[in-house]
Parts: sequence; structure tokens; C-alpha cells
Amino acid sequence: MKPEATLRGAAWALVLALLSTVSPAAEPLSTAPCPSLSGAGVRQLQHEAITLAWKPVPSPIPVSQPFELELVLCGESVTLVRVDADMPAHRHGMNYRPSIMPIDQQLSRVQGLLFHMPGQWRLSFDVQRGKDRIRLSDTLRLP
Amino acid sequence: MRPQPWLAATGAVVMFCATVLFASPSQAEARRAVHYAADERAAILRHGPWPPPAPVSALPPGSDVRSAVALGEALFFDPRLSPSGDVACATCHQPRQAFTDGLRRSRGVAEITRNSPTLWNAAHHRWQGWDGGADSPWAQSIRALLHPREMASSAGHVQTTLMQSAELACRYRAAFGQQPAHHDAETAMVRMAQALGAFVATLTSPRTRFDDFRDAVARGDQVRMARYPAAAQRGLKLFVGKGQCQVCHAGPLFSNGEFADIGLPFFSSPGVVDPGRHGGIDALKASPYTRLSNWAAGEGSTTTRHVEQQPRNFGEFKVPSLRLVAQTAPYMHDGQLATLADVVRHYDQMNMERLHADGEQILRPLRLTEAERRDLKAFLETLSSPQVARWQRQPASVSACAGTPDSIKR
Repeated sequence: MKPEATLRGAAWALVLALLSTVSPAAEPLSTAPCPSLSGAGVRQLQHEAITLAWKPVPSPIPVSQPFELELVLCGESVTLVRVDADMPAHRHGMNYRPSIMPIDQQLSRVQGLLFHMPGQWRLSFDVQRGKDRIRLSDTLRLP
Repeated sequence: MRPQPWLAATGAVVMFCATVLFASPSQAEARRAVHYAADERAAILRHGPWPPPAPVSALPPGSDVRSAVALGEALFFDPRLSPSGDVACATCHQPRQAFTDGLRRSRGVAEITRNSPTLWNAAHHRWQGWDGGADSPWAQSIRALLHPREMASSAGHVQTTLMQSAELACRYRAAFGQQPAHHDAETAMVRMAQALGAFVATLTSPRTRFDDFRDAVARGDQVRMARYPAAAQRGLKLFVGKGQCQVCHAGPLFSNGEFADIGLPFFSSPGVVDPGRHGGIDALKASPYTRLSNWAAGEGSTTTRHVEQQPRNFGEFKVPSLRLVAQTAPYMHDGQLATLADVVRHYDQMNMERLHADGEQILRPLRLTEAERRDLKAFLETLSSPQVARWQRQPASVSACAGTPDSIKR
């Protein structure tokens, strides 16, 4: 190999090495700080290393009117795949299938929820982590 | 001279009687008030306030709302919208019958399988019809217009009718800025429907004796509360308490606007199932006239977008509003219950075996006493408004069109 090529290759290697030391390293998702939700009605669920916080919009949840959720999901390699709700005592769910609108890696907006009667409702959040699907649940009572 | 004992005693008796006879009415009335627990009061308050904010009628940008309402009212009573020339919207929605028709099953060009619901407060509902197959009054009017057994009409017939009537064409132009001939047939039909929707949006029922009572509860006005009939007070206590009626008949409308299976037979004829909400969702998803369509001028609807059809929707029908209930007999999706007493009896003696497998699990026979059934009926009757029977058509508000040739004589 010609000495000039060797020298150019070494120079590029040095440049790349220098660039990697001055560029901010991308923070792994698992260690990124988990944002918090503010405002009324924030609730938090925990499963192992998964943290899920949600709050209704509007708050409090109105009976038989559409509402949304602001939701933060934190954990390594986790994705929110489904949100649903039911009334276990009445053996029925909602009449609507909510949709998830990701805002960023951790923040989502869930639309299309409607609790059509007062009483105890169970919210279910299905989270995909690798090959595993994990369900987090929360219960609340509408007066 | 010292007063005689008998005179003193007589005076005391007279004073006592005077106190009883001429006591402030408020004291006597206050003694008649039924006591409500805190949760019952909270439930009562959730049935108001009334009236709600006026609904927004879905009209295309640039429309003249007043003219659209006037056009809609004229069209509502016009039988020429049906090719047979004898079926108008008002055929099944008669003002003197609280915008119903008093029949078990309505009849357009032929008998249909459903009872005619009132149009009072229809614009406050998110779903229209017993099956919720439309998400707006204007879309529902198109369903009725095109239904082969209701008005059996078509877009082409509607446009022709509009074009052939100088008065209707004048009103159409006042509302939408163009003659009906300048639109294609489908656009003319949708504009007609939107005008009908604008008219229906004006039909918010007046306040009732219950509303006065509810507001008195909110103010803690014991005197005004006590003026509400005692039987109705007891019936209301059953409604929000033992009966749990407010779970579905919720809010100011006395309806949660959704659907339920309450154990009624859902065969529209021997061997023919009325698909109820299940069929309604099919109709909604197939309709080009929803609030998500281009016709809706960006109106949008999160409920239309997210509604999900489920097997339990068979046998479900819309939870009707109980406002004006005593004025809208007969009852249920096919009018199978003739009187309000029959309705109360249905819930009182509910046949749990008839309640379908996925039926509402909170329903169970109420097992009321005869007095309780009367009280519940008495409460429901206070949701009436005598004024609705006196509803009058508005005088022609578009003076440029009134009196044009071809004015319809009624």
C-alpha cells in the first residue's frame, strides 16, 4: 500500500475518532428521563420497570361524553399497542374502539373513549415489550 | 273585669285555628318535601340544567341559517318530497303528537317496523334513530327520504321538486346562495337535508315541572321543592335510587345517548330479526353522509370515527330520552308497549330469561308495590310540557319568497 493512502486512512480515522468524542452521545431510551404529566386527574401505574402515567381530558371524566387520555409510557423497548375499558360488574365494555396517536417516543394521546354509564370502569393498557404483551389496568368510579 | 276562663280558652282555640288556616303556605309545603340523601341529590342535579346550549346545525359555509331553517320547515311539511305525493316528514312526525305519530309502527308509503321517535331534542343526540344508523339529523332525514317504505324518494326527485316549485327554489337560493338547478341532484338532496336538519335543531323542548324542582334542589330552596307533587318526588327518589333508571336514562336529556338490550323481543315479524344497533352500525359505515364525509364541512365526529360493532349490538336499541315521555306513546323501538304504565310494568316484572345473553347486567325486576309504580309514573309525567302540543309553524320569514306562485296550500 502506498504511504500516501495509509496516511489518508489514518487521518480519516483520527477525524472520526475526534468527532465521536465531541458529539453528544445519543441517550439510550431506557435511561431517558420519564416525563411527567401535569394537571388534574393524573394517575400512575407501575409494572416492573415499566411506568405508565395517564390523565383524562377533560377531567373529571364526563359520563356519556367522549374524552381522551394523555399518556406517558416509560421503559425499555416498550410500545403502547391498545387501550380499552370495560365495566366488569356489568359485563360490557365501551361502544367505541379508542385510537392511539403517538406524540413522541414516550407521550401519546388516546382518542375515542366514552364511558356511557356511571359506575366502576376498568381501563386496560396493553404494552408490547419485545415478544411479551403486558397489560396494566386501572379502575375508577364515575359518579 | 277579669276575663272568663272559657273566653280565654275560646280565644286560644281561635288563635290556634287561625294559625293553622292562615299559616304561611311555605311551612305547610315544606312539611310535604321528600327527604333525599346526598347521593340522590347529586343524581337529581345531574339531570340538568335545562335547556342545554343550542345545537349547532351543520350547514355549508356561507349559508344563511335563518333562511335554511325556513326552508327546512317548509320542506318538513311538503308531501311532494315523496314521489307518491302523500308522504311528508310530518306524516310520521306530527307537531300535535309531539312530533311522533301515535302509531305502534309508523307508516310512510307502507308500514315500517319501527315506532316513530319524537324529533324534540333530536339534535342533542349523537345518534339518530332507534339503531343509530345516522350521526346527525340531516343524515337521518336522507335515510327516511330514500327508504323504500318511508318516503321512497330519490335525489333526482328531490331536485326536480325543488326546481319545479318557485317558492322552494326561492327559499333554497336564500339559504344556500344558488338555485337548486345549479347543483347536481345529490348536492341538492344534501342541501335539502341540511335545511331539514337546521329546522330540527330548533326543536328543543321547553322546561318542565321537574326542571323547576331540580333547580330548586340546586338552590336548596325547600319551599319551591315542596311545590313539586309529592308523588313525583317519591317517584324521582325511586328513579335515582332503587330503580337505578338514571344509569341509562342519564343527564339532562334523560338518555345516555347509547344503546341497550332490555329484554324485549327483537323480531320485527315472525322469523325476521330486527338487527337493532348492529344493523345501525352497518348502515352508518356504509353511508356517504356521515359527519366524517365531505358533505359535513369539517364537522367531524370522534364517536363516528371510533364506533365499534360488536355481537352484543343485536337486540340493542337506542336509550330514548324520557323528556316528554308521557306525550310520545306508544313505546319502545316497535311501539310494543302501549302506555307508560306498561313500560313501568316491563321493568317491574322483567323476564330475566328473555334478557339476551349479553344483555345489560344491571337490569333486574324492580318488584315495586302498586303505590311505587304510580309514583314512578307520576314522576315521569312531570317531564311533560303542555307547550309542545301548541307548537306553531313560523310565519314565512323569507319575505322575498312568501306569496310566490306555487305556494303550497295546507
